[in-house]
Amino acid sequence: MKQTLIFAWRNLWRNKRRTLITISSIVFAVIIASFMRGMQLGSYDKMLNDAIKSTTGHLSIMDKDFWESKTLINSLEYTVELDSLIASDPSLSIRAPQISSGCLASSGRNTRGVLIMGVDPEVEDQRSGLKGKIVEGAYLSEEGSGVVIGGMLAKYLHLKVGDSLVVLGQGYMGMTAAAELEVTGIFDHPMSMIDKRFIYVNLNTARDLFFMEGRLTSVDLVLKDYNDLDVTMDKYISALDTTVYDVRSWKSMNKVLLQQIESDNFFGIIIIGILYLVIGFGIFGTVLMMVMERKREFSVMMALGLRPGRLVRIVLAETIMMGMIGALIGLALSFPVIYYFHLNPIPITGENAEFYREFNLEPILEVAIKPVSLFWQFLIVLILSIVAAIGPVNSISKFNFVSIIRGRE
Amino acid sequence: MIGRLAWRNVWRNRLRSLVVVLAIASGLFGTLFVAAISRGMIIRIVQSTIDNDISDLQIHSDKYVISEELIDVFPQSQLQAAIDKNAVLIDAYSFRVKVEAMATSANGSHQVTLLGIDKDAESRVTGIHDLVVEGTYFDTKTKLKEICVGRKLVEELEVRLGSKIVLSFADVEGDIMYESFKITGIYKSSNSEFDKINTYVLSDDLIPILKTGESNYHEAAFRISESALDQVYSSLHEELPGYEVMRWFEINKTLRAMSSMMDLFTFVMVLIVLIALIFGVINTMLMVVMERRKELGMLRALGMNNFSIGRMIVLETVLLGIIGSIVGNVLTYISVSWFGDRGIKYASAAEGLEQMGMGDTLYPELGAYTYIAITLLVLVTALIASIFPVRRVFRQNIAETLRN
Repeated sequence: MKQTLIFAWRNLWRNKRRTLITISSIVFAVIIASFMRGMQLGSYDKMLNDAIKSTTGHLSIMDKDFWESKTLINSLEYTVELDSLIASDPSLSIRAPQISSGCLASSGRNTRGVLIMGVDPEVEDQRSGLKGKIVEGAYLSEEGSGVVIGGMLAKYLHLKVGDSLVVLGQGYMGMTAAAELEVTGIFDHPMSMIDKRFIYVNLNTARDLFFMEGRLTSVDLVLKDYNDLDVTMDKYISALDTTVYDVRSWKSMNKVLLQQIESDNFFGIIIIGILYLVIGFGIFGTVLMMVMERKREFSVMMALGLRPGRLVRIVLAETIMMGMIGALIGLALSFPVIYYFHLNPIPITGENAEFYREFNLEPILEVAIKPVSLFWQFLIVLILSIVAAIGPVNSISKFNFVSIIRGRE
Repeated sequence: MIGRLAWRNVWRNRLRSLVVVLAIASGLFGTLFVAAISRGMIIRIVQSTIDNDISDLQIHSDKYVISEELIDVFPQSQLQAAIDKNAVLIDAYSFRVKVEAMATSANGSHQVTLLGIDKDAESRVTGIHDLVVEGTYFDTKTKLKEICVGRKLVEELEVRLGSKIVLSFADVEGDIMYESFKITGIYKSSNSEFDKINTYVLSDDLIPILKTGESNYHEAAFRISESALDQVYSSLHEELPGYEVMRWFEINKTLRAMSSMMDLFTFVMVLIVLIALIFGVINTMLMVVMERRKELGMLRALGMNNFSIGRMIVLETVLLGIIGSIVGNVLTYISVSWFGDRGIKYASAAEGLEQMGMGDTLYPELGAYTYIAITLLVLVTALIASIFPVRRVFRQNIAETLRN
């Protein structure tokens, strides 16, 4: 075994240039692939984390009909039992009660369809950092009935801090909900949907507006540790009456996003597959040459009594060594770059930033470090080298060494 | 002569040449096919946005563009002269009133954009009438006010064809109006978000409620062929001071950014694959010249000049590239046209795709210039790859090579 490895190692450096070129091709592929995957997986993580943290939570408790039809009739009664159940659960980091409903907001002659979000000010800040995004006026407080709105909505409705805004919608049980509310703060949100269409008020204001005393549309829960998801979910399902309540996981609430990620991920994998396919052909060509140009040498060795199996192992060892050296160098070179960008996400500017906003994404490129994905690159290269070697190596045992030595082949 | 030599040389070691050709062909085919699918997605988004939503060109009053206030209407008569002047170049046009509203049923409410249209004019401009899946596009037989809404909104409000829904919106004075409409048509486009928001009523029904005045509109939408677009644009722009004339890519700025981003993405992909290919080609060609060391030495000793030898090797590399790119392009062309007609159903991600406005089926599409550009890029790659083997040959000492 040791001898085989020494043999293979020396053979590898008999034609330095070729070996180096092949190794460089592998290094190139590994760097590109691991960086591309890092960016893709990073952006998926960001999208999902944003969605979980600021819009759906890991889990959400709602009325059993609310998900299918998001109207106030399908709101839930926030009972003392439910409240104590959630409040006493140590595995939760955020408990966000909320009331959300679509309304018309108007000021003077301007009217806009908006989504009113009745939230607990402090919890909302924990979830989405809304307080930090306030650019004018003040953030929501527990008291009073002020609203905070996005910069773009403010511009459209010609509103400044201190102006009032009329909201009109449908309350619980179909009652007309209407109120004049004062704008106390304006925020600047990177997602255009929120900047254009969201209005935040505190829970009491929303309850008064929509006749929702003691009711909520949902309670979103964010876990301290994601691994507790299944346990916590089961716990709530067994503790709550499922003919009244629905406990939803983030997966079912972000189905569309997950599908978009899935289709994007699929393309990403295909492209990396193509890259490795091309590199694989290169490795195949190299191994083929390594075998063909040593035909005579191998034949002499076989004539001297070396079994073909031994030669096969040597060539295989050469290929695998080449692949592993390439993969290791590639990973060693790409890791610091990935790590740097992981710590320093790339901000996106100009026209492309608009593009991100249009799809309700924060214009920032995050790069993820996924040991599993890096390990995959290594594994792929290993498999690739073995597969590429099969054909050429197979031909060794079919050598007719007598006629090769005689120079007939 | 050199060409013939190179061509024969390519086929001296068939297996090896085949490996290189296969590598180039499969690399190109893979990237181009993925590019074609993404391109098809983008084209579909752009096309359906133009066909169903924003049209080729729109005119609003200056003020309306800034704040979209109901009062900023324009009388149709002011535009008509300018339109008639370009009548030959304009395929169709439609005037609309537009208001943000709240649609309410017994089971729910949702904010919508209410568009007051003329049935015949609108049918020539947008494709909504073709997308009606239930009921009809304003059959005008009922005495009630008709409304045509998207399938997604119907689901959201839990209503059916024939149901009545109440729309509330502010009129021109800022007073809130409640008006009930009967759903007589339900449409479904490839964009579920669009279907949720856009609802259509007849302008004759809507204008009296808004009190914006007869024959006063917020928006004029035009269909104009691509070749005439710029001409009509500049003519209208000149004729209509006080109006904002916008082409589709000015109305929706991301549409064009999307296509250019996709082009960039394709280019980067192709570049990466070509760089990956270079390694393999260089290795193969190095091997080729190493093998033929003696033969090349002999040719040089016999008086073939370096230029001819270099040309022969370059030509061999380029030939490999050409064969590879022809195979790759033909494969791509065949599969793009096959799937372009039939489409690739992507059921497992249908909801996600529909929300982005692509429908649930992907139609790959690739412009002719892409094939040409790619072939040229492969040739450049082959040229670059042949530098090393050529240099290698020139560095050899003829006398020594021949002696060994």
